[in-house]
This record gives sequence, structure tokens and C-alpha cells, in this order.
Amino acid sequence: MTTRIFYKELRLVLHPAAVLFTLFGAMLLIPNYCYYVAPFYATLGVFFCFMNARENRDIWYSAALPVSKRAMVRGRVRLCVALELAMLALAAPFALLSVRINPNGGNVVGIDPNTAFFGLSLLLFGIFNRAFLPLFYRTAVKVGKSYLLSMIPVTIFILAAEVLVHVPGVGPWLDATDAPAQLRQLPVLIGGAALYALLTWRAAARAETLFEAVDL
Amino acid sequence: MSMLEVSNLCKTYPTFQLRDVSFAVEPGTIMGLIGRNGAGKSTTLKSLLHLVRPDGGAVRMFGMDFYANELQCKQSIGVVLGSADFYVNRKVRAVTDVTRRFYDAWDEAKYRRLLALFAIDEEKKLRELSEGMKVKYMLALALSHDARLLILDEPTSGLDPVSRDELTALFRRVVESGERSILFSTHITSDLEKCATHITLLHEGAVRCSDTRAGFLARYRAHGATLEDVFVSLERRDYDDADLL
Repeated sequence: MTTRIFYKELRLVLHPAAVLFTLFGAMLLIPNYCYYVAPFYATLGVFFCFMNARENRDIWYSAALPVSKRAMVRGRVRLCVALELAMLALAAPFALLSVRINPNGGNVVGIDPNTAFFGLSLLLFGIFNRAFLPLFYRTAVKVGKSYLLSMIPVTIFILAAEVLVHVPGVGPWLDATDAPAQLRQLPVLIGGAALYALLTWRAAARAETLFEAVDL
Repeated sequence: MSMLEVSNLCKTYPTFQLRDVSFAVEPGTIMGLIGRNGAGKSTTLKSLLHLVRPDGGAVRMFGMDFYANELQCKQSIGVVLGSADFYVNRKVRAVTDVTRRFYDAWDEAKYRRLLALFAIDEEKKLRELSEGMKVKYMLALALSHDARLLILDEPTSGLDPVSRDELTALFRRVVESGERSILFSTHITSDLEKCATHITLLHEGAVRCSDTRAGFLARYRAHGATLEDVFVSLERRDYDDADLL
């Protein structure tokens, strides 16, 4: 049943801007830039989809279908995950190109687009999902407020992550773009992926429980 | 076996209370749920569909406990909450393509016949359909998955008299075989005169009367009065003029 709902999400809920934002991995080519802006745009794409669903009264359309309220949440979470992972997957070629254009440690602003960046971007998405999804499904109406509030932990995370690459010791290790460094950064990617999965799973479970209790 | 049995449905809001709402919809009948604005019609429909979590009561649909068999029951019902005012910028074709995938009993040939019968152009966006057309489209979707119970929240509100007449005739036709039933809420009592076989009157969140239309009229009306006269006489409230000045 979740597959059918996911199809509905793709056909009706997915906003064209969200698709466009998945291509914003191209921003990794910008020299001297805060590359976390790219995953930030992916979260904005999620926001656009939620707005699109609300403005099109998706809840009333979905409520008439033979689906449970929990399944409605699961379908939407799947859309979020698809947008977030698509953004990172599409960003990978740009990251490879970027490190060739800009020499090692070329980004003076923050982290370079390396393996650690992808791991930390996954963690960023996990933090966003954990904050945004339960906040939204508390009412199933307040998209803007939920998004703005969820931006607080996301912004703090981005600031902390960007400061970290300027800290002596850990900074150069995290910021390196040479091949051996990518292997050394692998635990960051794996850890980021694990935390992303855990946080998103917890967010979905909480959102389902909250939405179940909402009187539509 | 009743198509729908609602027993002692209760829901408390800060400013409104649904109190022990009970009624039943039998096969081949059209139940009109009437009441003033705010009487609890929509809350009743939402509660019995589990969109609102009732504080108490039971709903049996097709002989099954609805809350325990929600998905199975929903395969056999058609629900229209308001008109089709969702995804108004999407084409009929797109909305149908998504909707049909949810129903095991979807009959594409029947859907095509109904579209032709209602003269609905699939290439039109939902906002380009008239209000009457939107309700007919929702009916086409419901009948195409062989819904046995149609639950409609004010389907005729905002429609012109001709469209309303067409729809009430359609409703009669839908239940004619005795295999389907309709439960619809409305405050347009003239529509009920035309098609309802049963009436449930809600008053301030409680059922004031649930009976056959003839029984309802016999109970309340003075000789020659219409359903609307009865409804108005039961529900009308007079205001103290002095307070208005």
C-alpha cells in the first residue's frame, strides 16, 4: 500500500521546484562557498511539497482513499527520503569535478565537497527530518512554522560543521580531498548514513503517532 | 445486514459535543443527514470515517467493525467530503490514474462508460469542471470501484437547481438495485424531498430523530407542510429584538 501512496506522492504532491532543487548539487562547483547550502535547498524542496499538498487539500483527497493515516505519513516520509538522497546522489559527480577544479583545501569558507561532506549532509537531513516531520504532523496544517522551527537545529548544525573544519587537528582531516583521506573519512559517511536512517525512522514513527491523534 | 450502523458516537470539542449519535443505513436506501450549520453533520461523517477520533461509540460497516477493518471497508465505500476541490490544477486523467491504483475492484470499462455518460472531459483540469461536474466525477470514481456505500458531505451545496435535480435523480438510480446505499449530509431539504428514503435530524450534536422520511414527516408535520417547513419549525430560533437595537 505504501508503494501506491508513494506513487500518489510522486504524481500529485511532488512540486517541480523540489525536482529542480535536487540538481542544486551543481553548487558544489562554486569556489569558496558554504556547500551545505545545497542540502539546505533539498529541505526547501521538501517544504515546497508539503505546501503543495496542503494547498491542494491532499489530506481530504487521501482521507477518502483506502489508506490508513499512518500509511499517509509513511508515503510522505518516503518522498522526503527520495528527494534528499536524490540530491546527494546527483551532487556526487559535481563533487568529483569540484575537487579537480579546486585544489586540495581550496574552499576557504568551509568544508570541501569530500566524503565527510556527504556524511555530514546525511546527518543534516536526519536532523531536519527529526525536527520537521513531528512538528508538522502535530497539526498537519502548519507547514511554514514547522519548517522555520526545524531550521534552528539545522542552522546550528551547519555553523558547527563549518567551524569544525577550521579547528586545528580535526579540521584538515575533515577538509581533505585527496584519495587516501577519502578512505579515512569513510566512517563519517557511514556514521552519517546510520544517524540519518535512525533519525528519519524515529521522526516517521513519532509523526505517525501524532498524525493518528489529529482530528482532521 | 445494515450497510452502516452507527452506535452512540461521541466526540467532545472545547465548544461542541457530539452526543450518542446512532443511526443505521439499510441496503437500497438514501439516508439524509440534516441539521443546521454546526449541528454536527460533518463531525459525524468524519468520526464515522475515523478522520476524527471519536471518544466513544461503534461503527459497523457491511457487518464489520469499521475501526478494526478500516482499509477493507474503505475499499467498498465512496467518500466525497465537499466537492472535488483538491488538486484543482491537475487534469482529471492524472487524478484518476492515481486513484484507480488504490482499488482492487477498479473497473476501467465502467469508468469510461461513466465519463461518457456524465460528459466529463479527462483532459480538463478539475478547476475547469463545474461544481455539478465535480460531484459527478467523484460519483464516477466511486462507482468505478464498485462502492456499495456512498458517504457524501453536502454534495449538492452550491449547485444550481438543475444540477441538484440531476444529482438527486442520479442518487435514486444508484441505489435502485438495492445493493448500494447513500448517506449524505445536507441542509437543502428540498433535495431530500426528492430522493431521501430515510432522514436523521441532528440537533446540537445529538440525534433528534432518525426514521423513514414518511415516518419523520408523520411525526412532526402539520397537514400539508413540506420537509423544509418541518425543519425550520423545529430548528428556528427567535432573537430578542431589543438586544439587536
